Amino acid sequence: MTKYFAFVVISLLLIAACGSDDDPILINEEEVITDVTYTLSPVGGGDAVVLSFSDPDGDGGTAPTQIVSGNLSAGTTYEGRIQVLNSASTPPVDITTEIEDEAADHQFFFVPDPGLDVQLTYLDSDGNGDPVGLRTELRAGSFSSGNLVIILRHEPNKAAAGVGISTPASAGGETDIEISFPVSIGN
Amino acid sequence: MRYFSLAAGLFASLILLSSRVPAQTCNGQVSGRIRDAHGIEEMSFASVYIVEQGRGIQADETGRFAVTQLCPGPLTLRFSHVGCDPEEVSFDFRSDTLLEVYLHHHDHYTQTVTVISTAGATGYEERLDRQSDRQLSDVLESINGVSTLRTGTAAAKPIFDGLFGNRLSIQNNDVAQSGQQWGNDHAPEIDPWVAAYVRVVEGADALRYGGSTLGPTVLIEPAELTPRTRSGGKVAYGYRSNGRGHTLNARLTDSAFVAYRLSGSLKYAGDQHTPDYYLTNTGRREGNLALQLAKYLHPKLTARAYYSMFNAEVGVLRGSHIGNLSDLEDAIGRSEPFFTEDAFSYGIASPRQTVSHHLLKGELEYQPSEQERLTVVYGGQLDDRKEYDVRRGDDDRAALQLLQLTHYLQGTYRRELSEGAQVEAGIQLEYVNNHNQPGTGILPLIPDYDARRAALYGTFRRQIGALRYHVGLRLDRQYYAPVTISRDLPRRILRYHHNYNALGGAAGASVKLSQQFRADFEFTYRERPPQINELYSQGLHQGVSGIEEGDSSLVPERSAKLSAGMHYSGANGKLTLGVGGFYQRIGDYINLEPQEELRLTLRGAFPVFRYRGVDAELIGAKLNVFAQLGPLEIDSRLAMIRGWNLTDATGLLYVPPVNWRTVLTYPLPHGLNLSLSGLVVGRRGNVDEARDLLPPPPAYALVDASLSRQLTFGDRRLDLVLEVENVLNQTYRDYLDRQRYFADAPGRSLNFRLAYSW
Repeated sequence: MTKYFAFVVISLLLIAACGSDDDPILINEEEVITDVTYTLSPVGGGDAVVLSFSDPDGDGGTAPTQIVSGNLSAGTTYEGRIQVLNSASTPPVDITTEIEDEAADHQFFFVPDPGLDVQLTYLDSDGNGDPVGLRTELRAGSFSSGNLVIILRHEPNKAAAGVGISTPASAGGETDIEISFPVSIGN
Repeated sequence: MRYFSLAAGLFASLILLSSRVPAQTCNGQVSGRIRDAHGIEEMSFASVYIVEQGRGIQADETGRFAVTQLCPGPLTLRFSHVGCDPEEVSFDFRSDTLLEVYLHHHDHYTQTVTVISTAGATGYEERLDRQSDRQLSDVLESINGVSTLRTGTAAAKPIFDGLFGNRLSIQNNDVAQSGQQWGNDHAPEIDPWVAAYVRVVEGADALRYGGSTLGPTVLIEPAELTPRTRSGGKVAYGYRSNGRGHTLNARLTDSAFVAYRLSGSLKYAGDQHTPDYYLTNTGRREGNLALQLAKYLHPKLTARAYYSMFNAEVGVLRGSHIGNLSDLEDAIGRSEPFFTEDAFSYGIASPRQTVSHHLLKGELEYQPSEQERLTVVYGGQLDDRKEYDVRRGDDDRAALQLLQLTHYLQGTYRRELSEGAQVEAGIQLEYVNNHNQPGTGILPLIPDYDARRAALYGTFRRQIGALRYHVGLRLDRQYYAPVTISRDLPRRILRYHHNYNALGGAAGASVKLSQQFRADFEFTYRERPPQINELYSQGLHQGVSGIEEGDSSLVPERSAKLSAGMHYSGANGKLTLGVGGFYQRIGDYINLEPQEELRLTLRGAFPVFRYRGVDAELIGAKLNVFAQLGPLEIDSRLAMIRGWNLTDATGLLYVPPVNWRTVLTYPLPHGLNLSLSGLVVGRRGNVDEARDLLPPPPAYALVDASLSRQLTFGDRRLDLVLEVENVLNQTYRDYLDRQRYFADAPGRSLNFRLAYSW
């Protein structure tokens, strides 16, 4: 009996010594969002302010980079446009068009810190007349600074009570994007 | 007859030993002793049910019983014991009778078995059958010390003595259930209808079982086919008002050129309802099939085969699906979850899970002599699990798609030595291949891996007079070869290798202090190698809204558990009392802990959870009472557990709160049986509330009521059960429910069940 056991144990250890040769397939990460750019162009013309966030390898790995290209000018109105990219997929995919196609299922929110004097309004709408937020208007007030949080909700309840461009709480849904940019209003 | 008795050595017979004093009126007595088929082991606490009178008693620790107050006339007694096929005997009762009853005992267990069978009007298997419309873990809750870790209505996993998941192995028909070792939102893929016995073993009894465990093992077994198994069948239909669920079960046992049993279940249910709102997207579909075969090839050789298939599609509460921490904060504290619909629906949308599990088992049993038994078992499992998230674009593409293939081979040798002594030894080999199927478009949370395990074990048991003792040893060698994908760019394939050794040992004794009292002690040492999720999981866990990261440098957990118990059993079986306690100390307890750092992602900052080895401690106590007060039966169980993380001086997560379960059964006229059960669950104390999003929910009490009737037509039987769950329509949330942040638990349900057996 003992001999038999020993034999089986030894043969198992031999089997265990060789590993699996099948490589897993490197997944094409089609639905990941890696880059978000919010471009604020002054309505009367002038240099745009760009808020960008980039994390090409997704969660984990190398830390993301986040850039705010400059200060907003006090008393200026900007038109904001959002671009969303997936650069992890080959070739890179422009998610913005996907969001446009499913506009009724998506809504962007822009939540400024109380100390940051900006006011936002939606400039676009989905097929039901509800806002989407790919195009917005931002009015920079007096000198101030603070964070501006950009949020994208998937399947929110756009009609829920209390939902506004800066108040997403009661909309529910699932957050696809939530980025906090440090913004200053200067000259 | 010779053929049969030798075929498995597992016959049941009944010998009328003697008749004494004639009984005039209704004060006759039948007494005797219940033993296993070999006549070696006493069937402690077996049930004796007097069919004509609709009452039952329980045998004492040595298997002795006495049924009193019997009237002359036809008498039918039904003997049953956990792990045995029940036996029924009918005779014309005239005078006091002494019976020697032999039951076919399914296996040899010592007193560490947590017995859930007590005497009573309802047989053990019938009680399980009545719960076939539930999830397996709910059925297990009737065992004292077992609680359930839930993910809402979608998944339920058993917790025993504070251990669950990777620390509590589940054996389906003696094969370690694969596919459910990681992730608390994955329920064991087992249909309760197929099971005839469910129980928990520990200590030396658990050493023979593989799977990842820190001691205890849950056993789920169908009734074994023996040469004496009678042909018959059962069909049952059940309806539950909460979720408008339909359950259809069927079972057929017969013999052609092999003995066989075919079982099948179908379940179809929609959204459940709390007292105040629908739980949108909590429907469930199940289709299960099992085939059991036995062929008695030769008096010394028996071949058995088993195949089971479990298919389920399960909806996950829509409002519990969240993207990040702010979503979670928004969802907490709402009066009803997001996405709650006003109307009932059978529909299942994303998020949802589909799972398909196959088990194929073959067994060859050779008995060279009455004392020896050699068994070879092969078990193959295929687990195909898909989880669908709410996604941008195509909802019909799974976010997680795993295929797990397991092969298991076991050889066991058992020998009865003289004088009630027995040795058993075995060897086990296991191979697991876990493969993420392509097409999800998401980096997998659990990597592809191969795992191999080899194990040896041996146990020895002996009885000397009033002392019964057992010792055992187990050695495991575990090998893993995970193949991961790098998190940084460019994506690369990274291969790793791990080898672990794990030692297990147990020693226990049971001392009969008097006819009524028994004391039990057990000491168990077990080591548990880390599992693949603890070593390599990588990614976002939706349910907890945290990034979970494995640690490949973890070392095996080491656990020492000391348990002791006292058992009292009244001479007439009308009162049994059990009290027990345990202390378990675990070194390098693999604990998932939130880290100080927050990880910045595109969806905001997430808390990071990492596995770390800490010192942990579990202390618990249990109390069981079974009493018969006239026709009233009382069955009451209380379990208390505390768990500490000694390294950080905090409480352990998911340790069940105090729970107390009581069932009262009372026979009514016209063959009706009324049963009332109450469950009281305390508030979990001893947790670091700062580490949780919500403090533990308050204590609650639930009441269930049921009315049953059994109609007998010769050999045929019709069982009718009407049941109300959560009679008071209590609104509550359970600490062990991971969806308690989002929604209340289901409210009242009116259930009806009809079963016909022949």
